[in-house]
Amino acid sequence: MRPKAGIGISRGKAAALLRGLLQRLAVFVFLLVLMSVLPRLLPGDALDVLMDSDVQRDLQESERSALRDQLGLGGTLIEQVGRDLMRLLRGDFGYSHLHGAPVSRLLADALPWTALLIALATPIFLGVGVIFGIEAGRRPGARLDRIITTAMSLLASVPPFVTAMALLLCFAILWPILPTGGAEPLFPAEAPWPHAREIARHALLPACALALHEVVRYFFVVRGEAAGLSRRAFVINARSRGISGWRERRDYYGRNLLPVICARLSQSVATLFTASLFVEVIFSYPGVGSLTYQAVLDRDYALLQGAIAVLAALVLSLNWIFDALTDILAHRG
Amino acid sequence: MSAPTPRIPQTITRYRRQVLGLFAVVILTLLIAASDALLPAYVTSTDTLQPPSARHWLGTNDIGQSVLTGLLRATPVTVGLALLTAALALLIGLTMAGLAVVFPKKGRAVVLHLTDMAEIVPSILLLLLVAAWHQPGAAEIILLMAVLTWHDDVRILRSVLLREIGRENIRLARHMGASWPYLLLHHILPAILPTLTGVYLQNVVQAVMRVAGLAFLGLTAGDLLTWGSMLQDATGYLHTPAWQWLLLPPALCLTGFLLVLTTLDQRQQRHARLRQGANP
Amino acid sequence: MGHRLRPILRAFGLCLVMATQTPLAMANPAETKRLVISNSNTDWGLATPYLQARGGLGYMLTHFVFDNLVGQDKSGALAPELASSWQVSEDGLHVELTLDPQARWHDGTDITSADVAFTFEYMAQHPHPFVSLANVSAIEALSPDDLRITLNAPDAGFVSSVLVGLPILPQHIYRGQDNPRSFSDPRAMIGSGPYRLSNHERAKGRYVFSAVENYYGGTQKYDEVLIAKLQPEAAIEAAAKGQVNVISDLPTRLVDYAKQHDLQVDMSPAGHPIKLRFDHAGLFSSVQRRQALAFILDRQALIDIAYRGGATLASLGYLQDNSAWFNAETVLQYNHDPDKAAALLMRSGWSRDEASGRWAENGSPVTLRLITSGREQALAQVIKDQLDAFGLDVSIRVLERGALRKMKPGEDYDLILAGGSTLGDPVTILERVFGTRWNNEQYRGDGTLRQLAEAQARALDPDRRAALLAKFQHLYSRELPAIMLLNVSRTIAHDADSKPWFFDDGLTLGIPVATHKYMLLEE
Repeated sequence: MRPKAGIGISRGKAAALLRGLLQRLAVFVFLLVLMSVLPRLLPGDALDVLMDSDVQRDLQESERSALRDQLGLGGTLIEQVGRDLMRLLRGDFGYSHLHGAPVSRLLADALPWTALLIALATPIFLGVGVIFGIEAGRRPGARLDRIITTAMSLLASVPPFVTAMALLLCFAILWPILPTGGAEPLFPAEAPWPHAREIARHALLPACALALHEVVRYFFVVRGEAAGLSRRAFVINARSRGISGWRERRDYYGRNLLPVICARLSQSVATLFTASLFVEVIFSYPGVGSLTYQAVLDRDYALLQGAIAVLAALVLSLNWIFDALTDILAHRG
Repeated sequence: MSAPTPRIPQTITRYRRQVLGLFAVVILTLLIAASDALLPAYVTSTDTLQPPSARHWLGTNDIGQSVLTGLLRATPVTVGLALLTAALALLIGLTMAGLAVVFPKKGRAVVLHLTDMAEIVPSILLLLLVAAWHQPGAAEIILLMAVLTWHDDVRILRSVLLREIGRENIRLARHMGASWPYLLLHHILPAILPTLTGVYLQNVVQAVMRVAGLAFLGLTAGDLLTWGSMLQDATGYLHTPAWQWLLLPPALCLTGFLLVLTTLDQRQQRHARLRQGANP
Repeated sequence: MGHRLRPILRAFGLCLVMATQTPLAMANPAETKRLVISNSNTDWGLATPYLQARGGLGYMLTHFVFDNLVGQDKSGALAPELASSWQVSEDGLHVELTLDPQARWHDGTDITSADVAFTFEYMAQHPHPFVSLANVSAIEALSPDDLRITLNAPDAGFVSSVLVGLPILPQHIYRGQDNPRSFSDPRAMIGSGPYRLSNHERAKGRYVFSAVENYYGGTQKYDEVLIAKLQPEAAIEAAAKGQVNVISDLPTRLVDYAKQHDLQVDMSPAGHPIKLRFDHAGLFSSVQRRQALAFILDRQALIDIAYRGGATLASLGYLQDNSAWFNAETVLQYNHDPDKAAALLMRSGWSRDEASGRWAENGSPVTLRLITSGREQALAQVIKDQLDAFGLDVSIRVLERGALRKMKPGEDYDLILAGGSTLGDPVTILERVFGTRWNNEQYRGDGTLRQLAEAQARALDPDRRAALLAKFQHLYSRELPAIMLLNVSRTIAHDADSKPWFFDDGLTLGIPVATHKYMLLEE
């Protein structure tokens, strides 16, 4: 049942999409409430954590309550949580007293770096995963398939942070051809072209580490699907007609794999953010992952709340979009 | 009760593999319980950051503890955490799937909604949030990870349960008055055991990765010694030769364990496929 | 799909080729004299008293921009800053100050006594986290450059804590600011110090301070001071290329690595000894048990294992050797001596089981509950091993700093291991030893020690104060309200040209930093 228009979504599909959206909204609200409540259940006073320092003097109770009001820590639990949620609804992500800056600005500074890493990593893992997956799946059980699949299984058994550390160790410390960390040299070049090159040099290792983590998943998905396709009549026909090489891979495998890849992308959104956290920590890359991690270590709840709100919104909406795309593609295909 | 005669001996021969697996788990649990007494003490000494030698086969760490002892002591903890987390996740998943099957109207809708929601929760954010609040110890890790991963199991378990319950012999036995517990133990459980094993193995792989990741970030309780936390300790020494004996052993252990698990998982899948092919 | 993929692959290949070549462009040759300081920490907030991050480095940055009334000379002694002279009255209740007539705010406005008076009033409402003004009863401007402060009670440490520690705010900027903690306008950073914050790139953790023209207090050595966030390993490599001058927080494990890269390494005790504190109402209300613990612990081994050269033995008499009031002769020594410890424990009523060698109280084995935070976890482990070898069981709980504060002596712990500052004027002893806050030693004793501490805080005559403090240190080392285990060192690495130094008693209120504003000024 092929619809006439290019993009046509049946009623059932639309309802499913709407349900997906509502579920995501519910999850989002749940996360918001949780992150507002949890820090306040902490044994210990938020004010103390904020002011923790060896030189800190003993504050009078009146001074403490004044400070609490100034820092927005006053009131009962419900009042505080309500205030937090209202604030977030207004688009105000709060103020990090540890950084002395609005959380929105901290995130705006960090997000582009993470986006850069993901943008660099995506073509790598998509390219490598899909190409190797098709090659292996075209002739399941052949020698090439066995070699590639074994290699990928091996790679799948290495936890992503170990691969990242191995890359760091090999290409930045033992054989130092790439920088050990950071996003830019201490004194970036003035001219735009050398500057871009420096940024690329710094992003290369983290992006590779990020990509290696995802390659395996795509490989197995694509290989399984391609192996299925290789037994289908239209592929066998095409082969017997002498269609091979690039055309076979592109027209007969690539096209038909698109919905699967798209469905996988929707799950990748969350895993990529997770992986980028590890990668950014290991390469001390100034992205949103290391910012959030530092907020955890510093118990900077304002920043953590803001970061989680933004990241959750991003992850949830992106994977909803990819879900919708998958549906549309599946419908067309 | 005129139920069919029990087929326990047959069950055992047929599911030798699973029984052996269960046996291994029991032995492992005993070993874990006894490891504290069996292994040498993990004490600090003034021999800090010593390379491997006859005295310390894998060298010592920055506070003079033997890496080999640490590795051995971390093994039952790491493995045990993973096995228990996976088991709890499976249990939750199975219960949910069971609820969806037993109550096909309301239960199904609620369970599937819950599963959908659990699937889209970005688990790392939740972990960070909880870790910032309180660094989890062993029990909390098991609970937390299980709560974050059970959703992976629900769909497949539900479909397997549905398939089995729909079978002729079950319907027949039910008709003849066999109780649910009896059916569960004698018909359904043996039939879904291969799937359960497969799901369990995959859960273990996931649990190993996640727990190691959390420990690597230094977000588990400070006194919980795992391979992941040993890796975390090694990160400061990448610029010195000490990485060779601080980083490599836990990294290799972790990778080796995961490799064993994935191999087992693949064999299990192959067997399941063969069996399915044999009696469709 | 292929034709779409190809350009991407090509672009990626290009990146790869580019990326593996080393960059040609290096730091632009300094036409301006620039000092680059690296620090591995994240963010130190903004350089104002209310927006600085907690901790010493945040204060240090504010101190670049905001001068205090009294400063320090190279040896750490008091020196004129905004106040060119000050005089404490005979009874210790009045302090008269004369301001430097040359002093100007960064926007050119004259600094007057009205600004100082305003600051005292403003900070009474919006408390400064480090400085208490509770003892100030009045402040009056006598003329634009003269003012008088009246105290409630004599305070021997008033000049060296309040006047040295309190930053002065411009009245014309801060007047009417109800919540200074959300006032992050560039105007909030108009101060009186030698540098102004000219750029702050938060994502990179980079601060650029530029020298203020016509600074009243001297000439600046550098036109620009750049503080950059760098991991210490990367900082060492950058320093080897001449891009970094000072690494302000070198971990001990990298000392050799830094020396290999031709850097000079300076170490100084941070003045934050790690203390083993007690539940004074419980097991350790007995002084013999506290003394026994001091005999059991091999403190040198603690240092060798847990700090590997990054710490020194602490004095057991509370004050450490960097303090001007330190007196080594009167302090008792407790060298590692298990036999003496055993005898003391026997006398305190504990007994040792012959067969197992474990200690017991009334027949039930003793388990000491030790709590600590993640920072001191390794040390706690070594202490546990040492006590265990002596026959005392220890259970360690590692807690968050926030949770640590809420632990109650007796209910939750017998021993608590944490760092605590001993820097700054000894008036702080009263709070740190006898106070009841979580990181105070909460000591009672028979009151003699407390009387000594109170007497020295009132003693305006330096000789008499020194004598009282010598007695105090002796008694402290005998009663051991806490065992000062070791003194963690702060370590910096720097190149041959830059000359950072640590003050013996810390910067102003006792902040152990070497990259303070005084190293940025010509002598």
